[in-house]
Amino acid sequence: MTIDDFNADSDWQVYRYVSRDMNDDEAMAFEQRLADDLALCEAVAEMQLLCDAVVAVETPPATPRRSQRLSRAGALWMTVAAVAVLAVTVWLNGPIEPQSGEMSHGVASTSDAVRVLSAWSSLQDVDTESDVSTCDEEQLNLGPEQVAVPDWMLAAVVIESVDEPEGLPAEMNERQGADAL
Amino acid sequence: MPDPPPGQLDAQRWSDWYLGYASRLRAFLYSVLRDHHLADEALQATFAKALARGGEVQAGSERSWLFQLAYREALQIRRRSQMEQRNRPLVVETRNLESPVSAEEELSRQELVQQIQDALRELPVEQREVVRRRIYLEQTFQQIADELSLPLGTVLTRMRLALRKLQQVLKSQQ
Repeated sequence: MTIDDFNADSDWQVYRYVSRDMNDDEAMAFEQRLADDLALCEAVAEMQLLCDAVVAVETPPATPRRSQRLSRAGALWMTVAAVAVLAVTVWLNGPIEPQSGEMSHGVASTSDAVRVLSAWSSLQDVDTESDVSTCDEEQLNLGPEQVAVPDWMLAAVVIESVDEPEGLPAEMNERQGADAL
Repeated sequence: MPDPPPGQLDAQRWSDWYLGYASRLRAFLYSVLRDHHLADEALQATFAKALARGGEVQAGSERSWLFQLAYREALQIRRRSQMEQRNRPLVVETRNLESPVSAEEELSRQELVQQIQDALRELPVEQREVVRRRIYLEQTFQQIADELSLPLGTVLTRMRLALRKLQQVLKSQQ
């Protein structure tokens, strides 16, 4: 079958018009037929619908949004940020009394420190595949003995000890360098 | 309910015409105008005139009348658009997004897509590959022939056979 045979085929002509394979003269001549040839108009409409459907079939669907999952690094950064805010809040709550040769630390109550440490523990133990807000309540009530506390947190939280005359409180000295309570 | 003015189409018939022909008219207008916004504009103009003068159309001949009307609207809009482009060559082209369609048209379109998908699966692999490359990837037939190491006539024949089978799907849907 030659190219001329193809071009004589009416359906093929319709496809060539719809797909813009015709040159300007051919297209103009074809369109003049459209003016009073209903069958040709409908053939053009059908071919356009067919081509649009083929494109729709072949176009890959939009990638569905993956479910939100926190990476472990992301969870840790959130934890650090939350604890840092807590630590600053605790630090600002009490009077700051700079000691000579010592860094100034905020003063916090024992219960506040325990709450901070508990929260740290619970956040570390949370399954990173699930929403943080669905943490089991029991995890939030862990006692301090089950918590591994980083040194920088210990430095940010000072247990008040009114009887300590100089330097850091005795309890702080005991905890420094400790990996766990 | 008062009768519509002479020549004007009543609301029910107008609605029937729209549901029955809008989808195909839009496809026809797009193939002439190559622009979804202009095609939609022409479609709206067509049905506005159908409302104003469609009451005089004999029952059974509305299809022919609508296509002729749509074609004239398309030519008019194309002439105007070409004049505007000549006068404002620096107008930035906006994205040619499809105009929103009615729920019925969208449902009909989705059904057609599903049928075409099924029909494509039934095509011989070599025909389907030519169709995919030509229509979806917009390769020329010569490019397809070169990449598949086939004679041009073979590529054209495969395309023609595939189109014939796919057209049968459309006809069966009517």
